[in-house]
Amino acid sequence: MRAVRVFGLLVFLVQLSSVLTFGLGVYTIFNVASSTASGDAIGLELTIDRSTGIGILRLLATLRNIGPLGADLAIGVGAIDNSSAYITRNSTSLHLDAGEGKPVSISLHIPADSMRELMLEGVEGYFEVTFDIRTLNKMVGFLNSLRIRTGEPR
Amino acid sequence: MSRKLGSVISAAITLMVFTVLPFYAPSLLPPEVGQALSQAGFNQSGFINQIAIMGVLMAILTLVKGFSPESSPICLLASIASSVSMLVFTLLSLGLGDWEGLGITTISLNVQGVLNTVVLDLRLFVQLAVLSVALQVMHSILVFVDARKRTSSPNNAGRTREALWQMERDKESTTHPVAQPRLMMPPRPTESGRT
Repeated sequence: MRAVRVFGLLVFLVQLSSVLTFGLGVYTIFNVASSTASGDAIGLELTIDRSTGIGILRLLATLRNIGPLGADLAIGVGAIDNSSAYITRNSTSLHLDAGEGKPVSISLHIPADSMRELMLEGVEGYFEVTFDIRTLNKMVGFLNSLRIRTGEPR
Repeated sequence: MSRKLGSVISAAITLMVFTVLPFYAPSLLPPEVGQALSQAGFNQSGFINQIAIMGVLMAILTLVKGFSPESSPICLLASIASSVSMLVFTLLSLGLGDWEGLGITTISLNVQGVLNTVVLDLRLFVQLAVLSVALQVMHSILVFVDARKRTSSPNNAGRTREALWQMERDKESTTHPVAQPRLMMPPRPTESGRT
């Protein structure tokens, strides 16, 4: 009888810790994700050098973690061509402790030929921005990928 | 509180949380959220129906568990089925209706040439749910074995299984006195008594 009760207590503790872990993990992830989603915290700009034709895609963001757990972030930018292959990509990663905020800046240099191709009418190319947020020793994750169409639709 | 009353209360709460609340909750969401979810290919009514069906199933199993004696195989089976249905419910909830994702949920939304894809990796909680259900099943088996031992003790020799279950039911439904009867103090001797 006593063993049954001890086992029952163990089951209860496992369930309680699962619920607590879920609550803390999801709360942290959505806090960081909402800081990336707010318009003031993130800026994406494309500059084309008139003399060389090289495109520079720059991502500037101020990321904050107001959740109770630390979070690992991987931020990437990329350019994708007509055949869904990456022309070029760049990424960076950082760790945000609970309550911490950090600025992030990534630049992507797109060759002139590819840049010209991406800007053609009817071309299905994309600029891609990805946020990979992970917490609880990278065991819980949230990946947000934004693909912005480059060429004007026909 | 007897097991029967406990199971009725538990089944009522299960029904409220898993069946009534999901039908009411979408009306609390802003219409834009509902619209965005349907654009992302999320079948809201299908998801709510799945959750509601699981709620009804779990409520029925709770009642079966509470109204059958702990030593009966029906109670054991209902207990195991209840744990497994809880796992299915967790998989459905984490996968937003798609339990086959096993904790990985993908939502894609295309708005004005911007394709927004969200991938949620909640496999850790699926693993914890599996561990929890495995422990619950083991606990149910231990409770069943323990109840069997009690009913097969030498004091109960010669009684049929049905008679033992009836005894167990009677024992559960017996109301216990709330307060112990006070000890009666001997009356004080009066003056007339001393004479």
